[in-house]
Amino acid sequence: MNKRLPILVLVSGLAACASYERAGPPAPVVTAGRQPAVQTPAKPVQTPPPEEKVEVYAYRPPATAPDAPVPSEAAPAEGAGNLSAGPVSEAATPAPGGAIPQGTGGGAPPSSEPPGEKVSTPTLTPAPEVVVAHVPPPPSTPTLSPAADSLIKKAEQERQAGDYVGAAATLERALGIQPQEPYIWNRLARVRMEQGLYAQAGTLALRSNALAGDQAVLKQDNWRMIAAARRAVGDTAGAAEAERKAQGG
Amino acid sequence: MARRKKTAASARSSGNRTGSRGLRRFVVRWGLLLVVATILAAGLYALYLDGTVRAKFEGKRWALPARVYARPLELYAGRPLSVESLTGELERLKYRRVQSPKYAGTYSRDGDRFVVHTRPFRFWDGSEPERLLDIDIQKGKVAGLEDGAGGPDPALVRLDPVLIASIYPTHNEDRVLVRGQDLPPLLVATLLAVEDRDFYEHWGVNPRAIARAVWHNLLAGGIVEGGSTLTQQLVKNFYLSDERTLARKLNEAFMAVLLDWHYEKSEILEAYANEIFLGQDGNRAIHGFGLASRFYFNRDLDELGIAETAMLVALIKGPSYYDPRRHSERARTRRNLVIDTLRARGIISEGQAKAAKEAPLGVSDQGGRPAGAYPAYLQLVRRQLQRDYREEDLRSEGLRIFTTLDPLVQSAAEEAVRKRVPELERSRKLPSGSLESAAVVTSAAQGEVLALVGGRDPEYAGFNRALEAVRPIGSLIKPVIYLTALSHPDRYNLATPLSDSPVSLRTGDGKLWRPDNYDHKSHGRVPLYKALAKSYNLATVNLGLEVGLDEVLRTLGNLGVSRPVDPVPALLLGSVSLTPVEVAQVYQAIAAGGFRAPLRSIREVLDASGRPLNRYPLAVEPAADATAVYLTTWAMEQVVRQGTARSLKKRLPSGLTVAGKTGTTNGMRDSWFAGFSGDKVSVVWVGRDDNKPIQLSGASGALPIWGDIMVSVDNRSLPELRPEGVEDVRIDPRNGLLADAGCRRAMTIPVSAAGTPDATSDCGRAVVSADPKTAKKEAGSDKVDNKRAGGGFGEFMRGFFGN
Repeated sequence: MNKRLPILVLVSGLAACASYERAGPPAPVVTAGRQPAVQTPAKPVQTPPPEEKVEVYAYRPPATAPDAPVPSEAAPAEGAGNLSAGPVSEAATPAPGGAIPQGTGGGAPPSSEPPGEKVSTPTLTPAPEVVVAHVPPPPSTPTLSPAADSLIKKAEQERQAGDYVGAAATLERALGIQPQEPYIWNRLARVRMEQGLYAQAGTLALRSNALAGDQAVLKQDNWRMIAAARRAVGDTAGAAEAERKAQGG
Repeated sequence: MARRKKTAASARSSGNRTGSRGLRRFVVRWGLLLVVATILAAGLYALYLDGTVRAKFEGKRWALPARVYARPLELYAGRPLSVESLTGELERLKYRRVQSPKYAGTYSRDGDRFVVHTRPFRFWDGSEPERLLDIDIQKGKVAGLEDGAGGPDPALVRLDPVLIASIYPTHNEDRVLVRGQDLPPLLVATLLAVEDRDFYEHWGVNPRAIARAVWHNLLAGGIVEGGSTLTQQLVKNFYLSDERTLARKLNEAFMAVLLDWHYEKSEILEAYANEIFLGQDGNRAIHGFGLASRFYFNRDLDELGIAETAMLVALIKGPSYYDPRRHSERARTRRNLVIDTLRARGIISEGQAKAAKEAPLGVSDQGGRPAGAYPAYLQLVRRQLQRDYREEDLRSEGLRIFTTLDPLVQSAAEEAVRKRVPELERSRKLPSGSLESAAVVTSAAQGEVLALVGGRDPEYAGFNRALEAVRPIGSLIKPVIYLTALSHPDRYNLATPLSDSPVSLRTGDGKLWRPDNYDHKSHGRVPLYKALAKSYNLATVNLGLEVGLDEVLRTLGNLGVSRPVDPVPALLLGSVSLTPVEVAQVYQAIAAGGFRAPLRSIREVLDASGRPLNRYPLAVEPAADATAVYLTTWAMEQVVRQGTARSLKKRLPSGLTVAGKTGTTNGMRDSWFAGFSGDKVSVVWVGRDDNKPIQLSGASGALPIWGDIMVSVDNRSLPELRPEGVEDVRIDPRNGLLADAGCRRAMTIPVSAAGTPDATSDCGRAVVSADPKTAKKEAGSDKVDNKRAGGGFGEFMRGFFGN
């Protein structure tokens, strides 16, 4: 026992004095425990931000009880749905339609419905894709101020790149400058269309029409979008009527 | 026997020898055990301390407050902006006015020409770079926007947004984090020279410094120097409380050693620079050099010179004792002592030291809490945040919240309420302090809440009447009824004659309800638009009963009211109770042409490093038929042109058309005005919290405040654009039929295609009758409509001046 005691002391002493390897890097100053900001590459404006972090849903006013966001309007889910080409009679040009999923719309969060489901419901075809593919944006109206015009150009770039959330934000900013300009509402409707938010797209296109006066080309584009939106939610009668109005009927 | 004795003796002696040896062995054994136990205990304690030290240093170090920002000011050529508005915004942003704006956060002004050196800011959708802007303001508009550095002129520029609030961690510490590499070398040198000369050499504790301090203190006869290293100070601030016991000192020493062992000097310095307590601002504790530099000097850390840096380091010893604002002499003395130390160490030259000592303290008034309190608006923001974020997240994650608050509009609203409410109170001889008010301003198209005033004293964070005061809305309900009617164009148009005659109903509980007009008169048959413009109760009740309560309630729901409403006929005169914000939602839907946008006060939320977490996008719902809304808006314009709100007309700038509705409740307990221009919706309420009568109608109470707000902000006029199918038509206001050219009392109203009357009135032909008797009879047949009989001229004059 007398011999073992010093050995015990030595061993425990060694154990106590052993230096411990740091478990991880020290908390970086700016982000207090998260990934240090310096490791995130600076993002140029054009590239889409990480979509999976951004939730987009219709806002509820304070008077209503807090509840879950309206599921039909959850944006990224619909983005994935657009991928699946349902049986479409018209040649669905893959280029713009295909480009979209490469944008962050494709990086959908797990809550998105699996594409297989979409195929089985032919009403939810990418007919809107066709509209997007074939119809270029209507010419910019001369009533746009230079400031709004610069924002619209930026939004258009973002839309082409697939950054719908960014494009919508930019267009909302443009609306802050010129709230009664129908062209901006039309562009916002287009973005919502490509996000798959058909109900919103239809309403925004209606809004654009209400302000459009006698701008025939713009109104035509709006009616086409409304038709596509109605078709997408299964309102074939409404879609037909909108098509008729688009033809000028 | 002798042998036995000997044995006994030997036994005794041997027992004695064993006893002393045994005692020694006993002492040695237990002493050794004691030593081992002590070492073990110390070792375990060391392990525990070690764990504590590392956990906090490597884990989440600081709970960062959430920052709440207002909307950024967007500048572009043609933007309506007055010189006062721009100056106000620059002041709220704490931009310093200088001769030559070299640094970000400064501006110079020459009359109406501003040169602003903007701060860079990272917005949700991209960064706005640092810029030198040349802004020329003429006639209340931005006439020119140029790049002061000679680059291409920007079409659109966003200034950095005003920080309106921080939601502090529960311990109320605030800091602006500075990275180690961003610490100015002068600051580091000063800090080390004054507080810890051998920082890079010692191992956490510096026995030599302690000995030196003890020696100097003995010599001086008091405490003049401390021997604590920076590491020890960090431990004290970061991990331990402020007691001054020996046990705490030992703990501190122990942990300082551990800290030094595990971490680099640079890391410790960085943590120190962000942790050190440097001042108190109300109940907000200022920690770290980054925030202290802004708090005392309203500048960023890298803009400080020798004198200011010395001042900050001087504060470490006692931030309250050496507070440069309250004890400027002491502060100056200590600062100069620090400068002398710098000189003595050769860090600065003789000339620099002299200049620095002569420089004033340079403390700015502006570095305090975020500009303006806006407590009412923040309550709305919190309410909307609580849906998605827990309270702990708000207080600790350093979230950046971008709101829709427009400080220009908010200050206009606050000013209007602050000024008018005491005047109104005096004019009606109400007890002082009893009259209250609330105001909400939102954008028309997007439903963004621009301003919120919760009470007559906007700075006071109490009961937020705009959000919480549920009051009967009175005549504010009428546009909803008329909108419902006009949604049936085959039955109603703006000129449809309504019967403004007495009505009595038996209500559900058997009582008789007999509404009456404000002036206690019946006006006979009146055109629909006039009944709204003059707010005739009887005509409205009759109309509402014809259209049906269910339909009216349905319209109300579509316009955004989710509060349950009692479906009794009295709702037609506004027995509906809503908050001002809910009323704003209804009127926003009307102002936006029937496209309701749920009101929002937050645009987006980012995390502490600027990555987007949540975006709250514009979402639009079709709430009512666009044509019906247009026609209702036209009728509401008449409220201002010739109706109950005509006193507003002369105050508004020429060319600005607005639409609105006055609201007065039973017994004159609530005074409302809700209305909109082309781009803003505003609702004002005036009343008493104890619900006693205030003797103010909508036009005499809320309307002046509404007018004040709208006149002080920039407004677009209502669009003249008509929806498809709406045309101007001449009608006879007496019977609502088409009128031909001969009809002198005819007026022009918009009608929808489906709502055009199919018959023509014979008013143009009636005047032709030569028989004086018939003419008089016809002229007097609708005498109920107006007391003064008369032909066309009388009608013309009345139409011109209003009834």
